Amino acid sequence: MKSRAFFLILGTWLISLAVAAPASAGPLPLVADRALTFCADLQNPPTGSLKADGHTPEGVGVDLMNAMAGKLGLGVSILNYRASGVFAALDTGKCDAIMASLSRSPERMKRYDFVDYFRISSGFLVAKGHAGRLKSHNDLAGKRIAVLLGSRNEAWLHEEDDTFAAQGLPRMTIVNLGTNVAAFQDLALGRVDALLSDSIIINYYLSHNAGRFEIAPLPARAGTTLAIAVPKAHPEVAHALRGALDALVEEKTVDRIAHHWGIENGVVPCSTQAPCSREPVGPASVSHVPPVHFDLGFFLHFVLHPPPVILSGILVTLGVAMAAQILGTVLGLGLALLALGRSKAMRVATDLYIWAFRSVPVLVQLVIVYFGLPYLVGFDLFPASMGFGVFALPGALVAGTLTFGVHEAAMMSEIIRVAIQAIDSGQTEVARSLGMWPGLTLRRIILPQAARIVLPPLGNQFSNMIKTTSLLSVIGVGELFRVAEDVQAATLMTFEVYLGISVYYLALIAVTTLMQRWIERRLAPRPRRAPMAQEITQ
Amino acid sequence: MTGQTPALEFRQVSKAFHFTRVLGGVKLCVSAGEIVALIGPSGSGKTTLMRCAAGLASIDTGAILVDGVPVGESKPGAGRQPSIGMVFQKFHLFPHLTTLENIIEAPVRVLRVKAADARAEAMVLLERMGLADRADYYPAELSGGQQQRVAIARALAMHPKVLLFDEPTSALDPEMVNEVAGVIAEVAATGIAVLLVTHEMAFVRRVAHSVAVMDGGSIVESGATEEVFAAPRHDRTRRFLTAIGLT
Repeated sequence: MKSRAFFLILGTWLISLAVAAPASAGPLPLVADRALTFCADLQNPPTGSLKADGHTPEGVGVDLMNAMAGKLGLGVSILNYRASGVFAALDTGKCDAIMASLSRSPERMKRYDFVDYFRISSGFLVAKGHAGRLKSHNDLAGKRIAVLLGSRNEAWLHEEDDTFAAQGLPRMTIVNLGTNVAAFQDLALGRVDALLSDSIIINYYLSHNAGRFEIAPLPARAGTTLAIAVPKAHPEVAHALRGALDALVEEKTVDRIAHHWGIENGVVPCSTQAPCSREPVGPASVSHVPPVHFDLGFFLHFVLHPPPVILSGILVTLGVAMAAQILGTVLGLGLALLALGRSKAMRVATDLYIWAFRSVPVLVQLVIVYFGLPYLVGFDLFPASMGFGVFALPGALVAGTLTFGVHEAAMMSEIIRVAIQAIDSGQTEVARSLGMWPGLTLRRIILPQAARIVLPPLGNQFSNMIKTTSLLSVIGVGELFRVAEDVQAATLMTFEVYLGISVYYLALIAVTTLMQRWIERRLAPRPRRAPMAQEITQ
Repeated sequence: MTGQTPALEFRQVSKAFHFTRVLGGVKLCVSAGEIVALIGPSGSGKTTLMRCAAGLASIDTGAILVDGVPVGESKPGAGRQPSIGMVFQKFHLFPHLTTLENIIEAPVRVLRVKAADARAEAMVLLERMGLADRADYYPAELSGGQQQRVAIARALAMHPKVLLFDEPTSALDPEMVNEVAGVIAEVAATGIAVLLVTHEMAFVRRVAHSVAVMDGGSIVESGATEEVFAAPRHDRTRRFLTAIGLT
């Protein structure tokens, strides 16, 4: 232990002298041999994203990771996770450290060491000409603000919102999205009034969309410190990273990287000499490391006393699933009738519809409809709030329900078509001989019989639909999985939260199945006695 | 049987499927209250002729008349009463409806009869069929003979002038044949013209007043049942009766 500490100190000293000889990383407990493995969120240019080739990471964070590893004489491996998954990845030993524009929080500091690298400020990006709408703090009341899910900015917005509520001011609508790209899309489409993000992101979008946006004069909250997270169990790794970073700051490499990406405004590099956080810098005591374990108490409380957001998530999940299933069944019936009809053109059209909607993943359809269609038609089809008579729904919810509905129609049309074809043609003939016209025959004779055949696969489809709604998390709809991500981000209880919502999905499907069985029993003719007994009695 | 307008008349009815002639100028009359059996070898066009009469298939030339009025290809619609009813070989009861619902469905939906009136009338029909106690049963709970009588009651509820039977005995146990013969005779006794297709010659002798022998898409011979069986005039009739072992 002693010799290793000595070795590390020696290594740091060597780095600080900028000696070409790399520090020996042999004793570092790394996931991969002779390489630093980072968990990152490569969906947030310019801090970290993938090049157009789809696999080469680039960005400020990527350059920093490479530079630090170079200083330590190690290779670099960057694993790309969604922001909500990076801590779980670190906890389960997928990587040595997280570099994903993280900031410190009390919960996080209990479990991780943090190596600060940037002190940054935050700002509000608004459409050109709208800066005047956000001049003072109270201008935020009643506005729609896009913000990165689980970020400090989001937490700050919620605090501000609570103070507005306390003062009787209209509340904000906080649209928390999983990536800065999605948050910026919402601003670009006019779905939000402003995008609150850190200066790195704001500078980037401002410079890449010349003339379309501007920064609101409203002073955003005090700055944030971005830091690399390392498990407390590996103080050597944190120490080595800090040493490497100190050397890079010293030789102005960090400044050069910031300048290269055009984000130097409002960004200050952190080092041991110029610390950004008050808490003591240096190897943390290894003695008190909370073990990674399953918090049964938290889990049971989460399941038995779900927070209100989880209940609202369940309602959204069920509501969307039911609406989309009804839409899909009605549309599917129409398609099935066209497919069985006499018009050859209609038959070809339904075949094409089914082919298209069955082939393209529903997630892809969802982002096409929600993010893509507004560009095609030239106006926002799904604005933040869509009025339907007396009530209004968020555009994302409507877009999701419509997408799932039209996708489901392709599935349901096949199920319904086969069910109708399974009905004996004699039923149609006898109805015709009784003077019943086709529409009446369909409604009174064919469909009631087909319904019994459709019901079991329909129940199956609905179970799938409940699960499919989790895709809405991508477009920021607060369904069950999405609100669970929020809870996970706030509590860092990864396994407990995701297992907890699994319990809810299990319960939802169980209730669905029971209802399906009940309807099946109601629809089935109930024989009073076996037909054989009849034959005997007569 | 002569001197008055027949209840059902086929007047030079012709039909072709894909250039193959299946009906070639069929001429046949059935009077009110008369039971005519259509017999002949397989593929002679008996079933096609019946399906044309029931409106399930179209005819190319000629006419099918009920009380002198052509039924043609009149499309079914609300309030339009089909003058020809049909009892299918496999009955085709609506499996999701009870006996009573099977019978009142078309009167209520097509003829717009009040549900209560339709139900009362259906009960009278079921009484006649000896099935009053089966009104609330589903078809799957009925025996074959019971299902057939429900199918007959269902057709009668539309007050047809003509009732067609396709192979009325083929789906029944042999001991049920006498029973259905009685029901058909009773139906005819109410003044309905009955045309039936069957392969059961014993059954024909029992119920049919007259027979029409079909071959190659036309009627080759018709006449009173016992006369035709006893002294067939046409060569093809003789061959058919020999083939089924009746001469």
